Amino acid sequence: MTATAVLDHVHAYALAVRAHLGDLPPDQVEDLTDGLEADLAEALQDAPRGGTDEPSGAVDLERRFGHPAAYATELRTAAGLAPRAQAGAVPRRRSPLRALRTRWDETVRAVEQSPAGPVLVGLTPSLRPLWWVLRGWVWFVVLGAVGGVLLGTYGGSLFVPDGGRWLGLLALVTVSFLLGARAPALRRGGRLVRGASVAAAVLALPLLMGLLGDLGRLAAPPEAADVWVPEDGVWVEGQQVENLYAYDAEGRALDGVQLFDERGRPVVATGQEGWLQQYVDGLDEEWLFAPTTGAGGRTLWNVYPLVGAPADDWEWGDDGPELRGQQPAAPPAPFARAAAVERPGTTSTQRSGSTDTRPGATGGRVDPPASAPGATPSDAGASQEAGDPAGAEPQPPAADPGVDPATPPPAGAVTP
Amino acid sequence: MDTTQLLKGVLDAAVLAVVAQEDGYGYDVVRRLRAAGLEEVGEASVYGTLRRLYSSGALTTYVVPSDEGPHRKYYGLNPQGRAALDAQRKSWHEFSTALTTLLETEGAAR
Repeated sequence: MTATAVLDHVHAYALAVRAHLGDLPPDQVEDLTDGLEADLAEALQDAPRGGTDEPSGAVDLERRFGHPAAYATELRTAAGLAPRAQAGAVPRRRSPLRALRTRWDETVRAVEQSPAGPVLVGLTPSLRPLWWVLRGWVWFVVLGAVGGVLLGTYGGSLFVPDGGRWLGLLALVTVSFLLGARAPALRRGGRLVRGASVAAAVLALPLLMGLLGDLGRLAAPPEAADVWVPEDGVWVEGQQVENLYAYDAEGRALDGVQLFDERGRPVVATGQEGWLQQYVDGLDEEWLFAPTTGAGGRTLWNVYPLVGAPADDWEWGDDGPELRGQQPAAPPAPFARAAAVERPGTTSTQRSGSTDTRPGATGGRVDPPASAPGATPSDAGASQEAGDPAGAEPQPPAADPGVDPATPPPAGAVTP
Repeated sequence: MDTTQLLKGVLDAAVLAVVAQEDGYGYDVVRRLRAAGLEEVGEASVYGTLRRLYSSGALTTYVVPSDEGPHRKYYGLNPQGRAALDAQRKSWHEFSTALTTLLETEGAAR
């Protein structure tokens, strides 16, 4: 009879013994029969008693050890436990659970007895501390979920602790560790601990998936949709501006300045399709601003400074607000005149006599340090001009009629 | 004499004595008991007794991992168990002396 066959019979015998102890709590059965197979197998290796030569089946095990029921009775009696309750006794309420437990125990034992058993069992001691940590974390997550439901506190990740909850996780992992380290055998511990461990084992995998999901979300860079995209506008020192005031190099205030960026897009500070009503800084009242009308009747909001009038001065006519009795004007400028400045590349003599404020227009060809990388649409025409370095000046010239024929396309005659 | 019944009464002491000599696991204790002359002792009785002695606090237990097979649960004597063994030794001595005297006297008298 091969060794594995013997083990099979031993296993079957042990199962039968355990079955006869089925009325006892599973942990008690465990205490009584832990190592039973090993002991039976070892006993068989010794000279068999009873005079038979070769045991060849389960029957011989009975001959050797007695009927499993008798074995079980002897076992429990010696252990000081009451004999088995009579058949027909009220079945205990938890019998389905016990049946499950018994099946679990049998499965575990079957794995242990299998050829892979010693390898796995040898592996488990080293994996055990890992399991204790995992178990503590699972308890932490479960308690966090329960606490969240009971106390109504949410926020943060359920799986990854933040702030003070790290302490809770640490405490639970420590508890798990102590419970694990104090109990040498795998199935030790009170019923509560055992149940909590089993629950932890069952929940570990789903919760780990949740953890991975959370970690992925935390680590991933924010998607474009999540990032706050600023609206159209002009920001200065973190504040959105409502109006722009332009002054030339001599410091004179300019009116009707059309502003575009390097790609020819209008620079709009505030404004929308229709009329703009907003409070003006420094004044007590609301102003209604009027857009500039461009070619084809388009409303332009990139002509500065924006002009309008106090909201009360407007009357609402058929075509929209109308201003009676006054022209729309710009709100008071921050200063009537700005300081005179010197642009790079201009000499004082050349500049003083010229009304043209474009740099380099007086003849000096310069390459300012920060030049735009390439020609832009608005500068396509400008590069033709003498003395104007291509791409050097992103700002189109002031709308001086006749000075610069190559104005950016959208700018035409403007009417406030 | 029915040794089974006798054995039941003194199995605790016998098991304690065996474990006192050297820690052992279930079948190891059985083997040593039989080697000592108690051939009729049943494995189940020994295992149950070990269990009961452990539950009552006379024995400690630890698991020894094994390369060839499953881990074995070893039993050892703790101070409480040692005290229990001494007490049993004493009471056995008194009991057996009394019984021996009784039996010898009766036989000698005839």
